[in-house]
Amino acid sequence: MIGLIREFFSYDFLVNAFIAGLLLAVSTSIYSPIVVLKRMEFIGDGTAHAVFAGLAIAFLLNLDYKPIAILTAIIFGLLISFLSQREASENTAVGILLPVFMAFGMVVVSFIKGYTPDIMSYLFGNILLISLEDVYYLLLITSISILLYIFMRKEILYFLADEKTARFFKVPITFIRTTLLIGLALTVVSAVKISGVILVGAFLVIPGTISKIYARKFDHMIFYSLIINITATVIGIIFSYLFDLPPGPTIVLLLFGFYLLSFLKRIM
Amino acid sequence: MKEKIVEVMNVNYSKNDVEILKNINFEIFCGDFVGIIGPNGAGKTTLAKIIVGDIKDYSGKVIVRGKIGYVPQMKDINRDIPILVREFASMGLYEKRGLFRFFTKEDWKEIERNLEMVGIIKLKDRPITKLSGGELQRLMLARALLYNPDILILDEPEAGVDQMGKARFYELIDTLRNDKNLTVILISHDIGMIFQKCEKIMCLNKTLHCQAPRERISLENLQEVFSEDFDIWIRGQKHYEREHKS
Repeated sequence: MIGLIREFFSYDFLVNAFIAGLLLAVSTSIYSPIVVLKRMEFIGDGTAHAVFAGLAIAFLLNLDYKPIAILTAIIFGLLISFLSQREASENTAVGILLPVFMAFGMVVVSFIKGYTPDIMSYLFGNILLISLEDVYYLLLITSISILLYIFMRKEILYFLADEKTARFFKVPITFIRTTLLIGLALTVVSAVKISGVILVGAFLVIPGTISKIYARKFDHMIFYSLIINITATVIGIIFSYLFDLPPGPTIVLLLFGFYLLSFLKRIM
Repeated sequence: MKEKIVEVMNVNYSKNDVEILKNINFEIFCGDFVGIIGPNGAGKTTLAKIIVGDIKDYSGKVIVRGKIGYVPQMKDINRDIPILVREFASMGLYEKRGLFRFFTKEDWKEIERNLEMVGIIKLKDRPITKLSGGELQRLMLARALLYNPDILILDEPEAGVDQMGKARFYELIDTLRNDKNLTVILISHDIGMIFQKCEKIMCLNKTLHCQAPRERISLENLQEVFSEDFDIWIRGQKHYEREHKS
């Protein structure tokens, strides 16, 4: 066992993957309860697909992917915020914009000559490609998420429980909504290399859904989500190393396993 | 002569080409207890939202000389959120602290005082997911009181509350009105209760059909507002009676 751990930590890329996974577990466990309680479960998927459009542009123009991915994610977040205030729910807004961004990305990809394997690795993620730079970015995003939670906790709660009347009590709802959506967008960008565009939704939906059943307090929801996310990430990475499995999907399947356990426990 | 605290002049409001409020004029004086009644879809909540400042694209003029404490309909609240009672009430004090600031010990004491006033201090650490309709109604009242209002606007506070709860809630409003010298505007379906408690009654159905001290409002006035064949239930002090239009 100790030999295994020593072996595991002797590979830089595995250590990077491990730290990145843990950081992502922390930041998504702050957003997951918000996403679930506000019934905007598809926001993570939507943003991730928007990021795909950004990635496509970056590959076409041969630019660094991260700034462009961040930019498209923020544009997507702002559009959702704008639409959901005027027109429809967050889910409807995502439903409209997700295919648009994805389609745009596909059109852009069609202009790229030759084979585009890298794009594929972003669709499904590859935690083993995490660089030190990615880890720093994740560290920054996770710190921002934690600060948001500490300093905007009461605003987030008002936003969730009674958005309409909160405005009357001078709570800056538009600011809160926009800040949260941007924070979420940045988190999704940070997750893309780990879980891929397609799987990132699981980190944002499953922990919040499980913790909502057991938590009496909002803070407990975040804490339970944190435990669920970290457990799934740690076990997922170890499993994928031992049995030669793709790490992102392994973590997602474990998260679903936890959900299944909580479901079975309730009906039995 | 009492001071005018709310003046509504020539207010009209339409949404998507549907006329919702037409030619509304009234005045409310300091310390008044006004009841607004009318059938579903009469525009009662819209009128409240205009006075509160939630709806701004109306025509006409609204003057409010004082701070409003707003108790909206319960259905606006997401009762699935695990926010504690005291945290929910703290929204009323938000203006005092604002973004990125924490509530102080004194703030929490003030919040607890208000929860005590409305009789739910024992529930302060309970999430709102576990409250009954009546308890939530009191919580919304505490939140409005923490805003330190001169005028209290209550929108259908009886909805989703059992009979006992209703009676006690109205008693509480009476007490608060006397203690804090509040002006109260009460929107309700509970005609009997409005007639029993309010000094002045406005009958609204798109436009104001009558506004007068309660002694001067007749059954005919009500039938004009509600449809003609409406059976009115009037709740007396100790009994119910039913008046039919023959």
